[in-house]
Amino acid sequence: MVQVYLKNLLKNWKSGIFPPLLIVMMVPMIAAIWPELHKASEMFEEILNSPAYTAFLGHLGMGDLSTWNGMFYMYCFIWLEMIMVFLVIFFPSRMITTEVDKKTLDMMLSLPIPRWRFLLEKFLVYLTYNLLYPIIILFISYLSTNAMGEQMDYIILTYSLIGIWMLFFALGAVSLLCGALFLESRKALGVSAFVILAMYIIVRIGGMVESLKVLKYFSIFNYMAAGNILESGAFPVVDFFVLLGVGIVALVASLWIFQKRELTY
Amino acid sequence: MSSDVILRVDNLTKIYGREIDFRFKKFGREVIGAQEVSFTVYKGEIFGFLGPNGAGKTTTMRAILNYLHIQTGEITVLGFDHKKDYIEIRKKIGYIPGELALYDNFTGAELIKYFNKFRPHKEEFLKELKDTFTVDLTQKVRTLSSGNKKQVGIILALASKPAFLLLDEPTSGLDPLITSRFHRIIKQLKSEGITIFLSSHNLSEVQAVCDRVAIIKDGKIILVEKIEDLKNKFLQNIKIVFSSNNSPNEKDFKSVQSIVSFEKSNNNAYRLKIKENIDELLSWLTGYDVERITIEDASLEEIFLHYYE
Repeated sequence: MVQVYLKNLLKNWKSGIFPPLLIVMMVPMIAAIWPELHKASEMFEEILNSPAYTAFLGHLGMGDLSTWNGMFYMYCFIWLEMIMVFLVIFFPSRMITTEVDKKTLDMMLSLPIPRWRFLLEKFLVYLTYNLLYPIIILFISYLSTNAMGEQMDYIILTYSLIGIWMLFFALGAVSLLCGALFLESRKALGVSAFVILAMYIIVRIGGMVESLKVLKYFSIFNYMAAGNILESGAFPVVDFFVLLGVGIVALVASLWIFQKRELTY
Repeated sequence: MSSDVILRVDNLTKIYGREIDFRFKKFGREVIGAQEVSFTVYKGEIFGFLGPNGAGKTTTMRAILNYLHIQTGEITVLGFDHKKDYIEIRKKIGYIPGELALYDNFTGAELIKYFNKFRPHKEEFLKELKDTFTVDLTQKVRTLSSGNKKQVGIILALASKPAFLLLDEPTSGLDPLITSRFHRIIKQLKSEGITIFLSSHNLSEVQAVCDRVAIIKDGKIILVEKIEDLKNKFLQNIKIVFSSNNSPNEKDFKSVQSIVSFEKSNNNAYRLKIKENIDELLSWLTGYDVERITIEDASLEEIFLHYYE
């Protein structure tokens, strides 16, 4: 029924599980150094609010850095966002193009499965493994916070982590679309990197310069951002549907293009 | 007869576009993959598809599989339209691409298991295939030689005993022993009513296993014929020794239309290639004193080269 999905899920377990585990290891690390960080939090906040850091990391909006909650958000979500940029550029765009490069598509597409479904099942593997980020982070955060005797709002954390997964979905679908359009690894990777890094930069500029604020609405990174969720303390329903809409449109376009296009390689 | 048609390719044309001449900023000639290609393959036959690299063999096969958008033509496989019913077709075919590539991080056994989910294997036959071929199916594909990868590809394509096999140069990279075992297997499948479309540029292979053959040149089919008819009808090698006092000259040979080529091997001995009609030659020879004449069928290679030269 879902043979392509199961096959890829089992075959890619190492590259699927290790990145989330490595990222999540950061949570207990931050917890371990938190007592020392806490003492220097004032100075730390001043450094992080300097223009150079703001330009690179954007307006943090992660709350009070003198609290465990604020510090956790700052470290965890900024790192996650950066890892995400790398992952969404690199993996979905090459999901099909690597098969073209290695010439494995010819044999695999001779099996009785529509091309769109072949691609969809591969994309679902990517979404499944990215689901590990929110799940493991939530679990490890709970353990680390309790171990330190600190407080954390798990509802808000859950909202933020749903946002992360939705970003993986929407950005991944855009990157997948680049792969389906070009069917060539270098081009697909280049265009995907350009589009996603441009959106990343746009949201930073829009966040820093008031007159260019409107720009950030054109960036996927602006929606369901962890900092905004922490500030508002509510689930951003509109943002959720924006990401869902972008993701579905890009995914459907990718599947349609791959189904219809000629395989002339 | 129409119910016995397994593959019908009718007026297939595939043009890949035009070459671009960047120096003069203009379009060059059209890149033609296949042009007005038509042929029919019947149930239970092994149909050879002959041509050198770039002649249009792979284009035709990829068009049959609906990988390419064709400009004109209709293709039906097992009675199904190749575009609309491609899933139905793929349930009933086995395919080996010319440039076979398999997932590197799979073992042969894992790939067989994976393919089994889509096209269930005939267990007895799979066992026979495993016994016939020498590849170690417990090895990851990335560790296998190209010949062993080809063997895995053959097992994957054949194991379900599909009604129709599309094989694009299946024996390239195989050693002679494995090639002969493969030939035995496909002859066995043919005897069970399975139809095989075999693209190759290995003439001895086509001669050994095929019932009919199509020769493709520059994207066009130039001949579709039974192998036996092809050898008998189209080209024969003739050696003639004339008596010393009465032998023809060059002009005399050229006057006979059925003589394709001739060469003098020694004093009064000639080697001729003739096409189609031996009667004309025999009546012409009555005007000369012939000491000895031997007639041999031309090999498929000679026929093939005749069309390509």
